[in-house]
Amino acid sequence: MHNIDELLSSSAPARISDEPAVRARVSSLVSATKRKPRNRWALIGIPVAAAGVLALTAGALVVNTITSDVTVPLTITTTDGSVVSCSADLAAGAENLFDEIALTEFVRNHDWSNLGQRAYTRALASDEAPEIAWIQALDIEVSEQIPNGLFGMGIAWTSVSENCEW
Amino acid sequence: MTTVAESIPLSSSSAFDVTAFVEREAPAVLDYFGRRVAHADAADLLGETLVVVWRKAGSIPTDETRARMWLYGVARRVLSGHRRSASRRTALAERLRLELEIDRPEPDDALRDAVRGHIAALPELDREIIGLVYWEGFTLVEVAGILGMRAATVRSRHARAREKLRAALE
Repeated sequence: MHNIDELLSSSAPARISDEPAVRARVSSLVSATKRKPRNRWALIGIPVAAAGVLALTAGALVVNTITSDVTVPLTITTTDGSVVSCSADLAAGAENLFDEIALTEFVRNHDWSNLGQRAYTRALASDEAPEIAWIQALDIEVSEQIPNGLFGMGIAWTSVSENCEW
Repeated sequence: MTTVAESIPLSSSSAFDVTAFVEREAPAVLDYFGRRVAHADAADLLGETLVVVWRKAGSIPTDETRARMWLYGVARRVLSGHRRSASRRTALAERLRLELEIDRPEPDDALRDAVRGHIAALPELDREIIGLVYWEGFTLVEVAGILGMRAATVRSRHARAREKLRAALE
């Protein structure tokens, strides 16, 4: 008879990161992604011909760097009639600078009213456990509001952090 | 009720090196993804996670345990996004993706495969709790922090899932 904890521990799929070649690639990826912020500011070195675009970019960059996140108040009326008030911090970003600016501006300026109630309704229809259903529903409601064209071709992401107590 | 904040010591070090921390933990995060999605997709997910991590580097807790919980919380959110939008790709992770596309057959082990099969049949949340505890090595309190849930809830779900697996494997 096996000990259940030992059985579960030993069922772990092999670590793909154990291979030296994979570790080397991971290390490169860590460095490559970390360089990204410095690359943004390197845009300042673009020739004068791009000055018009640069002016717009620089202005948006400052705003983007300081206030890329937006806090959305959520008010949810639950199935038993009680009202839950809380908030969600939303953020979106992209590997490409211009995609990032567009995404951030969209998230900051979009009308997020009724987000909480829509997510709650979606969560009710989910088969997942309630805690997971709520988080997933909120993620989906946020990402579905963002036009696909804004995600561009590279890395793009959305982030939702909420503080609702049920 | 015990909360996560009450259960994990708030020791911190002013010398906490974020870069060293990320470099040290990145392979384990790749393994986390590799155990949940196709290996090649794990490369993209790690790339996305690292972008978020560097962007939010100022938010990383300076306590090692809390930093790991924070990191896996980010990874879990990236994974959630991947499941609903699998078409998003990253060029940055392409080389790692190619490396991971090499087939890595595991030795035959009927019991191990049976255990994995029963774990896979659990509800998503229970499966994640079991994975984080037994495959990634987190404590139940740490798992609660990663999932943003109460420790008591995670404990009871873990106990139920563990008992279900024990019964299935008898």
